[in-house]
Amino acid sequence: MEKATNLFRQEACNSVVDLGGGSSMDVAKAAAVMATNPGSIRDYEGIGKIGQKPAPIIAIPTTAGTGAEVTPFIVITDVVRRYKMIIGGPQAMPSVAIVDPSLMVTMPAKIAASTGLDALTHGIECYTSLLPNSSPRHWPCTAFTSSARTGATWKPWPNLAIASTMVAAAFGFTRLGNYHAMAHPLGWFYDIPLGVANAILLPHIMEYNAVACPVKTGRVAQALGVDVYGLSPLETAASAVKAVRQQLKADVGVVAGLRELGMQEDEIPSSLHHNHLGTARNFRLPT
Amino acid sequence: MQQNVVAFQIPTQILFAVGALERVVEQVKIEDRPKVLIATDQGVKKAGLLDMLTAVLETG
Repeated sequence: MEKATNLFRQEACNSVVDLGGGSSMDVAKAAAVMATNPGSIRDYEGIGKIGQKPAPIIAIPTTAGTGAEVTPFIVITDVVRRYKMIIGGPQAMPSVAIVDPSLMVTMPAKIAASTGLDALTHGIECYTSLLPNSSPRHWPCTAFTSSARTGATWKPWPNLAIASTMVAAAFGFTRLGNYHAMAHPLGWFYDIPLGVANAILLPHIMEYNAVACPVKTGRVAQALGVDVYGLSPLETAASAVKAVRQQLKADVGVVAGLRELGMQEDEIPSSLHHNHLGTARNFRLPT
Repeated sequence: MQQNVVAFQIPTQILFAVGALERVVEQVKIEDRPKVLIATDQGVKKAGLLDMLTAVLETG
């Protein structure tokens, strides 16, 4: 990240083009911020701390995805503090996102799966967010399920690509829930991709939230094609959790829980120490 | 009946199409003397995508 900033200044660049997934997007955004702002990136940690307008960013995602091409967040690993810090604000959003599905077909299956899981979690998390989301909630989350199932063929990529971008535009507004708040520190502690950490937590937090928002959770079941005829709202929500759990396991082999990652109970406090639960907009407040 | 107004706006323009990569040229040319820093990663480079981008930028 520092190298990128120095290069930008030395070469007198005037815009940043990102071609890649979430990590290179974070580098591009951070370099754009530091191109016009003094000091260190740590000075801008938090939401709304960026002073000067960053250099223009043109984002070209190659995964579907983190959705970083349309989000106001920058996630930077602080190696000194062993912590993923978040820098955010509308200025951190790219001026243009070029979403070209033809750039995604060569993605290795493992990366396609983990970034796709990230996008799927965004969809469910954003839809069941505490904030009102009557407009973004109509945005596609069904595209993910059909796309994830057919694998790396050409056909699903346009749907998956635009769904990933749209859902990320939506969660910039609705904010995310406890999934990402916990997945960030877990991903760091166990060195697993964010999408995989999200997917492990997904059915568990859906289950936890279901009593608080059974109708919204239930609609996920319908999106997944579950027959919910005659079920009560709570039963429908439970069928959504079950369907998500089964499909994650069958389609992408996601492990059922943190114990299968080798987590010991005494590691829970340290692995979740730097969580973002305080800024999350989860439907049910954790106690 | 009072309706809750949901305001939604993002500053990012989204260009979506198979082959939309070529549109990067006009976006870069918004600056008078365009000079860009490209951020990417090894996997993207290996897949030949970086070459595609630089080819588009150089011919544009």
